[in-house]
Amino acid sequence: MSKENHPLILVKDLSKIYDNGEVSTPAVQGVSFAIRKGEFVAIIGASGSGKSTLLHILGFLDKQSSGDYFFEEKAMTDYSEEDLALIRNEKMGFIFQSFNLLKKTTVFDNVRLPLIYSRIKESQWNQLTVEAIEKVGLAHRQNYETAKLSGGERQRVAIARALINQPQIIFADEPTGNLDSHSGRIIMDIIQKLHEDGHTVVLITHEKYTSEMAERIIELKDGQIVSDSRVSQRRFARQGFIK
Amino acid sequence: MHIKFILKNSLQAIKTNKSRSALTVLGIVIGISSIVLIMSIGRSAESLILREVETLGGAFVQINPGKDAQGPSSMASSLLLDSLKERDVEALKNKNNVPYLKDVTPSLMVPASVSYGSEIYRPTILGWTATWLADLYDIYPEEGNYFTEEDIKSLAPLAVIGQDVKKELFGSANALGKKIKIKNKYFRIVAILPPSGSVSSFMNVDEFIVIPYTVAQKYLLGVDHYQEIHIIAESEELVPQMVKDIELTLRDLHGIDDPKDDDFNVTTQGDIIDTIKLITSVLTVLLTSVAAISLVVGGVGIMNIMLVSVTERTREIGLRKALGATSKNVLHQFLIESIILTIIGGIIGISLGIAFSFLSALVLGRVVGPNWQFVVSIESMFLGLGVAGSVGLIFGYYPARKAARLSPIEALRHE
Repeated sequence: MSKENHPLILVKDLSKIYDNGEVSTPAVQGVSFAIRKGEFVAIIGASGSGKSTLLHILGFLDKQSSGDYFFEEKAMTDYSEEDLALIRNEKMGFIFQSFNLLKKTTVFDNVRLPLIYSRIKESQWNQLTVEAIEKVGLAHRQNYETAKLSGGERQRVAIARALINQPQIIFADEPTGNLDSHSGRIIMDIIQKLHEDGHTVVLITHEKYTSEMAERIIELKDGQIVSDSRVSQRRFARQGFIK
Repeated sequence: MHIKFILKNSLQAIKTNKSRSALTVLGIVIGISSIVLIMSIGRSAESLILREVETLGGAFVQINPGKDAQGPSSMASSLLLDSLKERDVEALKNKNNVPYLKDVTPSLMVPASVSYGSEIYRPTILGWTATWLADLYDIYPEEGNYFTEEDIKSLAPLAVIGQDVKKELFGSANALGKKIKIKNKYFRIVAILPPSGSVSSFMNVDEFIVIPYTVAQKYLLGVDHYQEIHIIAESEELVPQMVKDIELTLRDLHGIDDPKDDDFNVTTQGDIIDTIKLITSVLTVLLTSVAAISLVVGGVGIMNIMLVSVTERTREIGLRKALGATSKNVLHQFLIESIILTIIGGIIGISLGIAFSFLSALVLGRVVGPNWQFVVSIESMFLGLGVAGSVGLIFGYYPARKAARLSPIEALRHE
């Protein structure tokens, strides 16, 4: 098999059980799938279906209880804490539903944040930050504190921050969940463009409409995969689809 | 992670909670300023006392009865010991015994009042030789003459008085030749000393009445021993050799073979200076330790506020970890934040401490006298900063470690 055909993500019989000592709650139960480089996958499911838990494990933010997770063919358990932090920094980008921006901090400083933990030379930081901000169309807001921005603008800041290290894969956890439909469409448009630019995207959503903007939908129910199919009629945000 | 950005983050976090940071730092400010103030007062006191001791000159040596005085109680009891007598002074005067001795006087202090007519005054009454004031302090009578060796031998009731004694008893009238009464015994004034002021904190020449030591012994105290013997060496360099000669002479005279059995002790200026330095440094350490307790309290305040900060910023910690911060990065960030807080407290504390030291020097200068000087020890500043930084490091470590150990997802989920 050529290198290109190796999956970026390979999950085998992965489970996550939350155990508080008295009650153990299974969140993800024995899921298996692979995601190739450059794919745009939506993970869909109702609240409590385990989709966020799965995304957190895929993004190295949490650990599975059992099963195997291979990232770039290497088992997650083989990485040290420092390695995991480095991979999160260099190869992964996160977009959260609640934006997770630093308060009382400018757009510029928020977007630059991953760079201060990276191995990229400081002399390149400014240029990379400006480019990422331009990509999401917020150049005119660069020196604004994020608290002064609208929800849609804040999410664009978060996207710029996710992009800045040129990650291989972008994890978006309900990125439009806190936005009105217009802002949501802009965000989804940006995410679709990122995919077109070659980024692998894993999108978590509970909305069917939004999930159909991906190439492939994995549907979860009660922590298990109930379907894994390609989208026959893809929707495009720039055509004004969202609810 | 670059130190520049850690510092920037920390300063921003401190700036975000200005009033809380200020209150947190207050404990450190109080602790550090107390340390600087106490060390400064300690230094001022030490230099004041040392300067006064040094006015006696390095060639001054004192012999006390009894073994080495080990404290105030043994100093007091030494006044009652009778091991120093006339034969000792005679033996010390012998150039064959103590070749480097320049001058010697027995010394007795008489606790009594003096009166002239209806005027009563409480001076410092000293039984000395006639010329001791001239030899030790270079002070000569303004009027009249010192009593003589003959007067001492013949137990002549004569007195040399200082300016304050004259003023209190006689006002502006003539005092020379008048008779004053001490313990029902009349003394004729043969000399009046010029205004001389304090020669040390303990000795104001203007309050002196100097009488022949023999008279103090026989007529006023009813003893045949001396309280002390004071000696001046030919020069400061000869003091160590002279002390050895004195010890040998007195041991021989008192039939003592083992120095442990000495019934006298010889104190040089060097000994006195060492003792004073020891006392002041022990006192300073003691007081500084008390002040240091407030630093511990301040440190607990820092720890408390950093724990609150970690809780408040749990999501931020989760975010930073999600974006690639390692546990070490987070640990450093919070540690540096608490160190910055305490260093800021340290700098303010040092500045306030210096200001308070200056004010206290102004006040104490009025109370103690102009010899009290404003001294700031550089060590106290470095100590203050070092202690402040250490407090930040020690008390900031636990909250910082707590932050560093947070799992990224639990931190991100924190509400």
